[in-house]
Amino acid sequence: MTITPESIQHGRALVLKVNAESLETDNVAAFRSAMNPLLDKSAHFVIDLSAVEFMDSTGLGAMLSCLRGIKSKGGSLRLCSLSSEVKQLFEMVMMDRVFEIFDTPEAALAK
Amino acid sequence: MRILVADDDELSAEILIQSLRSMNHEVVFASNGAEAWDLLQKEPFRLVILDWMMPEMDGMEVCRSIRAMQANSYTYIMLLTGRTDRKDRLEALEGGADDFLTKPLDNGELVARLNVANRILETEEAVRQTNRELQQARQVEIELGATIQKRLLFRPPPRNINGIETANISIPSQHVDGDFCDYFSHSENLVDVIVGDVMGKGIPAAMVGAGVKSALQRSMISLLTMSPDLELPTPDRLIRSLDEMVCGELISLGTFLTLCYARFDSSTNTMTYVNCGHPKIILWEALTGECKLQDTTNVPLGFSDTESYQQHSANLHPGDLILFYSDGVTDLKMGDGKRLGMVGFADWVHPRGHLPLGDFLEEVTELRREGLTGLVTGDDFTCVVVRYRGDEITHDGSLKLWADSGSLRKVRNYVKSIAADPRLNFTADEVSAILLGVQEAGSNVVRHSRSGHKGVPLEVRASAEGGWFTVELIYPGVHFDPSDAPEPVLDGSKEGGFGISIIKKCVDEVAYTLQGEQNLLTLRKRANV
Repeated sequence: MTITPESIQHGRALVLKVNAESLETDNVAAFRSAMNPLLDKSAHFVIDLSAVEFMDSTGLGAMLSCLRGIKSKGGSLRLCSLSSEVKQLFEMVMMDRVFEIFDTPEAALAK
Repeated sequence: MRILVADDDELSAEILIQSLRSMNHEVVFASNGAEAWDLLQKEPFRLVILDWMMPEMDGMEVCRSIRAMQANSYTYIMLLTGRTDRKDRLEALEGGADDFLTKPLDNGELVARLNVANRILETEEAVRQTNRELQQARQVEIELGATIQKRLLFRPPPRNINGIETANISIPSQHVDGDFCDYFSHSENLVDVIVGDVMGKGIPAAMVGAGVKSALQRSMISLLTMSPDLELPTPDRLIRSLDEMVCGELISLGTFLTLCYARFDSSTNTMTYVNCGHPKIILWEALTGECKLQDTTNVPLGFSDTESYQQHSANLHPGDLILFYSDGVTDLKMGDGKRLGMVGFADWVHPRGHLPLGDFLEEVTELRREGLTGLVTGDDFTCVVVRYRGDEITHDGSLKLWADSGSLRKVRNYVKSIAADPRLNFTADEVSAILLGVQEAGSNVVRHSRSGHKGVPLEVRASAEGGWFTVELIYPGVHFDPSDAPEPVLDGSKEGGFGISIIKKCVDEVAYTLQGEQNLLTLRKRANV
């Protein structure tokens, strides 16, 4: 799995695009190891999930782990471009209240 | 020639050195034995003339030290002595001296003896050169053999085989051996795995192995062309034909081979095999997690051309692991000093049958490392491992598979295809909720039904009947009681523990029950009328 840093010119937040159709039990370890080196590059992040059509609870767990890691260093994490399937998962376990979720990367960077 | 002269008597040394120089030899002088030995350790001399009687280290001591030293070329040693006693001279020859020069020196004798030394050194050099060339030639031959081995005897399994996943490892005892392996893929449902071991080692064994492999292919072709409707020959028929072709040759070559021919048929979930004296196939059953040694009654090929070869068969289930291995595996000496044996190897496989094939073979390699310490030399070591996956979609429309984390996508695709039934009238969001519920249920089964295991045999039955969409997951292992599961933490402080509550929210009914000895997890969702 690859994660592409999309832009750094919009203020200080780094937009990270997850290049995977799904984020689940099978590839969550690959997601974590692709993510780790990028977490030093900025304090503020936007994760673009537009390519991710399916996420399960282990994928959600990996997102939570990112959120906690970034927040513990005084940074912030926003999510954007969730598919309806992924949004449904977040709502089901009320994680839409824990994460700041936006429709587009631009909207996530604007606030 | 460069000559080292060691003599504590300066006058006699001077006379010798002058004579040698007049014959155009280059001379290095040492005034005692210890000095000579120092010089010899720094650089090699082809010819050394040592005075027998010297202080510190006498000529005989230097002589013995030279012979004890590992050198790339031969040093010719002459002892300079007034002694003519036969016993002394025999002792000197015994100690490594090649010749003697008697004091006082006679020039004619010196020339003659130097000529002898030169002839011997030239012959010696010629022998060494021939040896070096022979060694190089042998190395080339070994490398050639290793290439034969890799290309002809043990190419990696083809990737496009259906129904089975396979991997192999082969470590020859002498760079090259007679173990071989082959695969014939006949159709979507049929694949043959052939594993053999030729008696003996080295290139002759590899050549016999390559010959037998090609004879087997010829047998297959000739039986197919002779059959009026191109019917695939059964393994026992093939082995009989192979035996007719090679038995006489094997007997005249004074060798034989053990061979296992196994056919995997995913339309009938069977393995049909003939085992000619090869160690017994180990079958690790995914459903029970137990190992079974498969029957064998046949002798190796090359013993008798009137032998009839008996065929056996075994029923398979997705996830079953089938192992073919050479006696290099069973001959390993374990920590207790005992031979591993077939039963010992099956016991070793028992807790590891669930591992992905790559991980499994890594552990096999580690086992070999441990087991070799008790042996002087290892035998050829081969292990071919097959994970039976079967057809997956069965005749009655259910999905039966070896479920590891990588195969849950197959489960989702199967469930999705049945949830698309128009009678159910599900919205896209409802379908994605069902898939999420099935994913969570499936990943719980993989992770928890056999704790620590990387895979589990799973049957999934989805149906759209009587106004309901039903998904049943049937699997072995620990029965799960959902009332034991803690409530999920929803404030983001915990990264896990959502699975059970997600499953409940995704469908209308969830039930954890038993079906015979297996677990049955049922997810149901009402159709939209």
